[in-house]
Amino acid sequence: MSVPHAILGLLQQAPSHGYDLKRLVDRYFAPDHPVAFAQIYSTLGRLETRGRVRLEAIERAEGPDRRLYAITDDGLTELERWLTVPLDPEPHLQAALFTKVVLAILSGRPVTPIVDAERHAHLERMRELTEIRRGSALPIALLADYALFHLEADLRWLDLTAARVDDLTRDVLAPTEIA
Amino acid sequence: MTLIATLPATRTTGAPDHRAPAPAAILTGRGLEKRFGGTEALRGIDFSLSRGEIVAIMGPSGSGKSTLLHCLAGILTPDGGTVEFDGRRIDALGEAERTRLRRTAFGFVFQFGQLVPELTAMENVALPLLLDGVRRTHAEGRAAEWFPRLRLDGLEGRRPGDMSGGQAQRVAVARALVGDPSVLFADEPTGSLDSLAGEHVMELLTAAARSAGASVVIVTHEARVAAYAHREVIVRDGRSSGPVAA
Amino acid sequence: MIRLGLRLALAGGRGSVAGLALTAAAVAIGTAILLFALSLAPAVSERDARTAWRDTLVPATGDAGGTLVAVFEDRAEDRLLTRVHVAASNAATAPIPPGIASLPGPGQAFVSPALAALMAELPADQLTERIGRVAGTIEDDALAAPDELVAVIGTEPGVLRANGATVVSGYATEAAALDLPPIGALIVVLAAIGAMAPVAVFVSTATRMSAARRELRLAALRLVGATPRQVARLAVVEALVATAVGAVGGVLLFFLARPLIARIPLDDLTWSPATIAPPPLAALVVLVAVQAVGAAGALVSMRRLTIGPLGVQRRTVPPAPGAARAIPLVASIVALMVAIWLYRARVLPETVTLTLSGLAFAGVIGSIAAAGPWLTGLVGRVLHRIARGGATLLAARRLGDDPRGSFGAIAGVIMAVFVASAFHVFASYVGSQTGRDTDPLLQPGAVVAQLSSEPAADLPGGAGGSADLAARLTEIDGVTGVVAVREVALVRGEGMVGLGWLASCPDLSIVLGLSNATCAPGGLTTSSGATASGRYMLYPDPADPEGGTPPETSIDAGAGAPPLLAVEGELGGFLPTLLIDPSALDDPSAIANFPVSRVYVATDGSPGVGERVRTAIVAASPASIVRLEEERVAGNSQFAEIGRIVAIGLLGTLALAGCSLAVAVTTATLERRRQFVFLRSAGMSASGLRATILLQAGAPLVAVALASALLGVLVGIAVVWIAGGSLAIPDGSLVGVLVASLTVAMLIVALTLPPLERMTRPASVRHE
Repeated sequence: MSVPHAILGLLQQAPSHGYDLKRLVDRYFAPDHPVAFAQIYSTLGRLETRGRVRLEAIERAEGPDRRLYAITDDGLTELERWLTVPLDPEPHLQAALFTKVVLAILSGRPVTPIVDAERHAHLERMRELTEIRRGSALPIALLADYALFHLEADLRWLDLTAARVDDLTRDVLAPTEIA
Repeated sequence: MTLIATLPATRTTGAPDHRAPAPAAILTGRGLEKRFGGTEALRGIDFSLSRGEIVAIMGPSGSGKSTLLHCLAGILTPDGGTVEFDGRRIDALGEAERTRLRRTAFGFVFQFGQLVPELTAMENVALPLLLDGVRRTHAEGRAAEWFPRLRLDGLEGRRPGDMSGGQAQRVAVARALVGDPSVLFADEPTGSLDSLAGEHVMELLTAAARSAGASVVIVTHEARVAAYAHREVIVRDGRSSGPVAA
Repeated sequence: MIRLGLRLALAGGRGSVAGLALTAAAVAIGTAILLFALSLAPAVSERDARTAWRDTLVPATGDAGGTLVAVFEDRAEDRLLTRVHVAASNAATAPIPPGIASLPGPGQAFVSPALAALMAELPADQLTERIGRVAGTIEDDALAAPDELVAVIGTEPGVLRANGATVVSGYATEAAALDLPPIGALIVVLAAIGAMAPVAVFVSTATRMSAARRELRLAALRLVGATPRQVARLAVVEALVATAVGAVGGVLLFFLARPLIARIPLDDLTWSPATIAPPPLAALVVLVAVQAVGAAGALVSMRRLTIGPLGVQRRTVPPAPGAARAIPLVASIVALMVAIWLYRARVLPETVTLTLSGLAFAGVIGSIAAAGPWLTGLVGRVLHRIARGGATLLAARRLGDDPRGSFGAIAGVIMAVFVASAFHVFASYVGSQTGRDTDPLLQPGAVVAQLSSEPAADLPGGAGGSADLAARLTEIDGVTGVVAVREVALVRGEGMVGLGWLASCPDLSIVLGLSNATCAPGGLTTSSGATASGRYMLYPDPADPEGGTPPETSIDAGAGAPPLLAVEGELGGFLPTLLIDPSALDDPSAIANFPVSRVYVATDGSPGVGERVRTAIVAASPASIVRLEEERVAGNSQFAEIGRIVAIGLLGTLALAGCSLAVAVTTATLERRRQFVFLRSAGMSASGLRATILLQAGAPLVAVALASALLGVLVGIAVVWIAGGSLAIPDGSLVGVLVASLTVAMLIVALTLPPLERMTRPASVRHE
């Protein structure tokens, strides 16, 4: 959900081409895992539909069209709103993990090894992040910290789930309404 | 999907290379059992620590992880199984011998530090050496070296009551390392500290242990603390899971 | 509230019950000591009343009296033996001494049970012959103590009259008022204060010792909503539990120890246990006061802590005690010196100066308590500087950080040591003042007898005169020599020019075993310095009180072989300057008219020979004072007695101190139990733990005790010097007692080591 807002923010600085936008998004928000062009353009398209950005100009030059996008008043308002209003603290349901645990119960597989494996993987990753933190510049260190805390949060959920596996098994196997 | 993509998975430097043959284990426990009255705290745990390794022992409260640490450190005698340090069985040693071993080969950091409130930081750090018979000037000299290393400059003359929790815990780390131990045992070393203080302690603890060539056993229930170790051992209901050895 | 307090006090587990038990023990010992101290005066007066019938002889007025009584002090087997010789002077009205059925006739005697036993034990010629045939026993309440040797001996009236007996018409039932020398009164007052003060301090510190452990319990109560006042009340209840149990224990201890204490002699006599009892009112006051002190102590210690619901919020840490604390001590010592000078100078009434002195002394003792923490802090600082090992460092810091607490446990000891040291000096002085009634030059096994009258010719047993006596003595098995000495005065014209002994110097040298016979011929020197010559008259000295014509003889100082022997060297200090050999008399046979005043008997020292000699002499001349060589320390017995009492007092108070210290050190260690457990986990050996605990208790105890002893000795010397005018240097026996007492205290502390070791063992703590 933050790709659109990232684009809006970048466009507030100055109107940009799609290609430039992708380059900037990569640089500021995803240094090591570049976003796909397709995602940028589709996001731009959606933003344009909603009137948050507008096509400023099309510069014809050699090669592909270079469309120049700019932020609209609506876009500015939306950006402002997104920046100042706190994010919805809805729990990020680890959809995949949950799915794994439920599937394991249904298929009669033991849940504990799955949870243990996930934990081990999380810890491995946290180990790596801790190593990265050491001796890195502050922005990277901040990123690593952010990831570490979240991974820790995941782990705590994992521990709780592991502790509740008996109740969970009962509820999954006995069909009850999930409110 | 969050925008914050994962950072690169770089191999942690300093961890034992898993491709090379496993280095010799400096501390091992085999089939450890321990009972307290009617409760069985340990039900047959294996453990192994290699030279230079940092291992975290994790588990829920009451799982027996502290008991495991105490058995490995020779503080408790297991009811069953063996503990070997540097090739020698230590569970069979007498109390006096084990006390001497703990004094000379091991270092300890516990959750509340247990510094002596009447002594200054310098005297607290020098205490293990003094108890071992080292002359006072010599002991304090060796103790003084640790203060800059743990970012405790200027605190030599302070009492534990006059420092922050993080500083006190770092003094405890210095005390644990002043005797040049082979193994550092830490039981919830950051348990009473906030995140930032805890980070400092863990960073300095592992760095100091690494440069001193000491192996480390940390008991903790916090993943971010365990993340400083090379591997983790999960203890649940007196049994262990997870990779036993590197 | 009370029940809750009780439950809390006892529910703290084995450790807290042990602490209460130790406190109660300390209170018990202190109470017992106080009760004994209070019993001293009544016991003395009761004992004096029991012996009054023979101590005080009131001559009858006119001719109303009927019994001749003469009392002689004798010894048997180095025990005091009191011989009461009686005879009916007027058979119709002769009052019978208390405790016996009838007046014994000549040759008969009523004896105390202990004497009867001794007589049965020894051969007749060692004891029975000077007593007589046993006609019955003396009742218990006429005796000072069950083991006293007393005999009421029937004697010929003529012998009694010749030996200075008194005719009485009745027997005293109350002791004459004590006639103490001035310094004695002072010493008694100071002793009373000295005994009470340390014990009072002990009781108060003992109850405060467990204050520290109460904090946690009481904090929990505050959390639940108890007010500070309720909490204080609970603390008082807990303190009272210890003091109440202690008081009861103290009374029990008093009764249990009484038979033992009764065997400590004072004035050469022991006691009948039943007479040792404090005045009931005073005892009640003591018991109540102990409770009050305990409760007050608990409240005082509560005040220093502000217990919030979260535990001790702020222990109001007072600043370190400064050197200014020594000022009251100096001031009160000065005040004491002034008060004693005033007492001696008699510018104020005696009661005033005695009171002032007592107050000043109490002030000194009290200000020791004030100066103590400062000194303890000093000890801590010194120890810190010289600390080499971990244990010393830990002990040094503990002392430096909490000098008040560390001193509190030993405050009573220090006072007791001070008092004991001062009294040791007093005792030395008293000892040096009592005259020596025996000669210092006696050989082992020798016997010296001072005859008070000519052995009567008509005594049973046929001792006919002194020559007879001398001959009989020579026949005794084991006697190697007998010398009879007659004391004479040399007179020329109107004036006496000197005193001398009529005795053979060579014989005397042999009996006294003098190495170089320094019997050298010499001349008599007159006061003007001229050598005397010519004829001198000799008369007996002292003169016969009966009057009549004194025997006399004469001696020529100028004739050929000088008859006068000047005595020099070893003998010079104690024998009279002139020894006149009987053969030098103008008329040697006249010597038979001169009474023998002294007899020296040399023996081979075999068992029983001394008593045989003594029995023979006493049977012939009952009023004689016979001393065996091994009894010549009689002059020092008073000193020995006081010294013994001081030693026992010191031991008792140091045992108390040991209990107090044990509680303090245990509390201090258990407060930091987690720390010690950690230290031992990290490798502190058991001996390191022991060293820390013993040093923490021992360093201040030894250092401050020695300082206190030194101060006590100096103050004692100063007091005696100002009051009595001479310098009393104590002997080294105090050091021995002090060392023994300190060892006892440390041993008691050492008793706490095994349980403390157990409780700080890493394996004993559940770690999860």
